[in-house]
Amino acid sequence: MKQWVGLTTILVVILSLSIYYSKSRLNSPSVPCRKSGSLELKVDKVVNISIVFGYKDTRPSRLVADRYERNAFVDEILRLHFLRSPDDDDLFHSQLKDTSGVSHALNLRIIASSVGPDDNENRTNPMQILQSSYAMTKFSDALKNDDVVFYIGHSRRGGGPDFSPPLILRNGHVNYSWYRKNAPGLELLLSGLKSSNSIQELGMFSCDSNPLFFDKIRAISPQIKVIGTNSLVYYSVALSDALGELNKILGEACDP
Amino acid sequence: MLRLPVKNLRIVKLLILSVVFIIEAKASSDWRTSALLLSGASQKTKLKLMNELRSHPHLSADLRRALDGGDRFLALDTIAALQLVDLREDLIRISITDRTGYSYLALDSFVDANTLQETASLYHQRLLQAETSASARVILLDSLSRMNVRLSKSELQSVLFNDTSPEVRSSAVRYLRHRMTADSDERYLGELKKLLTEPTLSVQTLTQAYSLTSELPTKLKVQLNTTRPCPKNVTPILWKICEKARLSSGL
Repeated sequence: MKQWVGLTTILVVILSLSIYYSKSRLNSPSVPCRKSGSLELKVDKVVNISIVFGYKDTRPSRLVADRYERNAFVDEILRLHFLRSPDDDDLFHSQLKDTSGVSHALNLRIIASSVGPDDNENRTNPMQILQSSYAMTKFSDALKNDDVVFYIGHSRRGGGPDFSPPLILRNGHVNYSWYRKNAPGLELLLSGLKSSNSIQELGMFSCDSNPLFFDKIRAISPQIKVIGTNSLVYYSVALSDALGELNKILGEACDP
Repeated sequence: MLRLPVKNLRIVKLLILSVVFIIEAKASSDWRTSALLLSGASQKTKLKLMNELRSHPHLSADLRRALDGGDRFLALDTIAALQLVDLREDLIRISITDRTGYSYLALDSFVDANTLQETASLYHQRLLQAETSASARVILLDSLSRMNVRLSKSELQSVLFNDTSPEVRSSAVRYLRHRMTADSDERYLGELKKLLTEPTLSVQTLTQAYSLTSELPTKLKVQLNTTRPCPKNVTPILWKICEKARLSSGL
């Protein structure tokens, strides 16, 4: 019996220390400054990271959830002590230190595609067209100019990243055959990568992104790191995977 | 009687403990297999999965446990999909500390004519509580808008102009749009005017305000004669969509 008590005590102590250690790292007062994790930082380089949430409808249901997912993500980012831009609600600032101790400005942009939680209502809101255009353009620009780009959203079964209310059938389901045939999001993705100057990492946190997109991405950008998925991905898993990957890139908080 | 050396005895005990743990974990995770497939399933498959879930022994107990653990989001989706009203109080309990606000989405699924008033009152109260997270306040505002709950002028002004979270302020503009367009509520014209002129508000908020204005009848637009230009110290695409919204507003 004593052995079991001893074993349990050790387990509890290890668990408590792990929780304390991880919390103390997140709450470090030394930020906003982080030591670069996996990025290659060139001299005088501003690091740009864009995370774009695609239009996350749940058709045939009406709920659209990418705003809520983005907010949960932003909540975690703010715990990493990023500072918000006063002029732009989607922009967050920090600094990255390279191995020689030189600081680089870090701009992180986090964008949602929808303007509300109801797909029917969004379709009649003129702001939706503007927001979709903004998310799509920033995604395309980020592929061309940023160091890291994450897409968190639907794959439209091969149609590619999507930032707008989907084309739907009479039964309320998404018209997947249209997306597969026309693949507008995939075309946008690949043409952005073709004109890319600086991208080092692309995260595709959408269902089946590896079998659907990996080879096509690799054919255009063989040198970049690509993070993908091999199956259907539950939204909370996609979020925590994206956050984990971002943490790897950002590395650790600088010492005080 | 067979006597094992002490070292072997420890290994056997650990093995037994591991087997018990694995069996318990498997039993409690069975519901997850069906639940994970619910999203994105066809209507026919969804009904089949829901029947499987309903026949799961101790489902409510497992979900109740999951609400406090790593499978919280999946449990919330399952509770909403199966309409497990007996877990409503548990959702209210965890919503107090739920930073994501997703528990309110599950609670939304229980709202009917009988529970509307009570739920609206709870949401209203939570919206005004300082300890409610920004993500939760966004969901609460969206839900209150859908429930046609009328915030007082001072409450709306507080979330529109004083909330520290841009996401909450944006959701408050959505609420304002709902009241001014769907309900033709004209009493908030002063608030819209402030949104269009207040220099400390972001370009995204200004764009939303212009877009909302474009939906208003001319008799209201003429009362909004003062506006603020789209700021140019932002990325070109943000300025461009702000300009598009401004031009469509007719101001």
